[in-house]
Amino acid sequence: MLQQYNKKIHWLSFFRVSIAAICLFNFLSLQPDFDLLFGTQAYAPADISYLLSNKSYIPSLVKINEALNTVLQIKYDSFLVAFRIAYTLSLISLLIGFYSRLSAIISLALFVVFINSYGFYSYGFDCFANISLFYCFIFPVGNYNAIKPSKNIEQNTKKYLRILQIHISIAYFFSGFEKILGFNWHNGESLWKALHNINYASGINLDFLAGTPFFLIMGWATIVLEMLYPIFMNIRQTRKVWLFGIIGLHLSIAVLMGLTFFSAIMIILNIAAYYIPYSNSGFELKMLKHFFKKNNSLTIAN
Amino acid sequence: MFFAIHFTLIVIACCLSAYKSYCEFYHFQKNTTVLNTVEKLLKPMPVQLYGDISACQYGFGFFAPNVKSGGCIVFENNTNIYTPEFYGKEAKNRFSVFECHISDFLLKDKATLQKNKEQVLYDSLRIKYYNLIYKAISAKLFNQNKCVSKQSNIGFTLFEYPGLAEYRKNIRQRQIIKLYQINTILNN
Repeated sequence: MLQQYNKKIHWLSFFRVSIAAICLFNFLSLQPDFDLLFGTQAYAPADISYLLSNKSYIPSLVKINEALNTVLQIKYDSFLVAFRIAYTLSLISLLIGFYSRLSAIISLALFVVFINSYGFYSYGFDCFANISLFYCFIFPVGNYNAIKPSKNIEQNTKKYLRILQIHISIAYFFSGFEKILGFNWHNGESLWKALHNINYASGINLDFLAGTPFFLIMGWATIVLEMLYPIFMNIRQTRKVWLFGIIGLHLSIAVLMGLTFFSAIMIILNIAAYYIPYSNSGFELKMLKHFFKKNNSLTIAN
Repeated sequence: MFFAIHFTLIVIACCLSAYKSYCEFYHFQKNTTVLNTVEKLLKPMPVQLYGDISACQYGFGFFAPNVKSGGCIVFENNTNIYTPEFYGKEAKNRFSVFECHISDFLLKDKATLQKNKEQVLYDSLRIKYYNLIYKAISAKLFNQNKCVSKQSNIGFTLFEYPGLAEYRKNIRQRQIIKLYQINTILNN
């Protein structure tokens, strides 16, 4: 039975499972406040708020509900309940690999409609969640560790890996490039401002470092890490150091600015694109070996 | 071929986003000929639809070229101050993104006014729209907090922490700037 674990974890299965999981956790974390943000009793009611973010080619939830009302009389809040259930189920289905491609396209469609309906609440996490769900649909993510694997298993997944790597590299390069255009990123002021923004306050105070060059160095370190990402992540000798730096950057964003979901999805993308495909021995196997060594009851053949 | 087009669209969107935010930040006149030509490429319905689905129309200039100022919507009733409250951190984060959009709009408007009065082109519909949102939030907070006084006001307040250079000069007080305010009359 344990022979099946004696394989490297495939980056595509990690990508599918972790993207579905992070989108699911993010959506579940909004549930206690769902009505306050999106319902008819929201601070900015749906029928007003959708006007600002409405893109002409993607229907908003309000528009879909209005269209449905011509046939069935469904209250908007009841319609939202149906949406919440459908989106959650599609993500669970994607996570376990049950008709992965179909689950991915349903998740993507529901996500895009949701983001279009409430565009002014969306931030970096949604951008990368959208990109990742799109790739879950395009890539053969259902080939590995899926409850219902695809019938035609595509052996060559390298081209998909390159696509993900190129996209992430472009994203980091432009993120660093736009920062270097701002003079406040050159003297540490922007980093200082970001950490003191009332909307992202975390409670961790770094003011005692104001007299040191800490903010200047960290500001430049962010720019260098991001702009040179496409080069150093693609050189075998520097990949691990750069990955360590980037993960460190995202952990700092999570801890100091409270943007946990954004940081988590960026770390997932980095691990999927640049750690798992290049790790010599699967970490899943290492963890299992460690577990069974401890319990001393079973052994795993190499 | 498909992915060549895909990445071309991503790079165009990123360049466009970088150029626009650079011009807005430094108050440079945008080159409309270049901008219109590039935007024309992204305008056709299939391109826009594909961009929305694949998210390749996004730029990636997070917190750049400048970090935006933080602020929030504040409702005042009978000397009491209320702000929209949420149970979870994620909802709070998302609402603050919305507040960022408002502060962006209000600050951009001010910046244009200071630069050139003749070129003030603010979107009057957007002001009306925000007023509508403010009124909806007022009503919600009024009922939520069981307010009594009919006279209330709601607006957007900016909380500016001193910059690094100012902090080093021992300026430690957070500045509270009322950017916008409207009066509302509410009944239970």
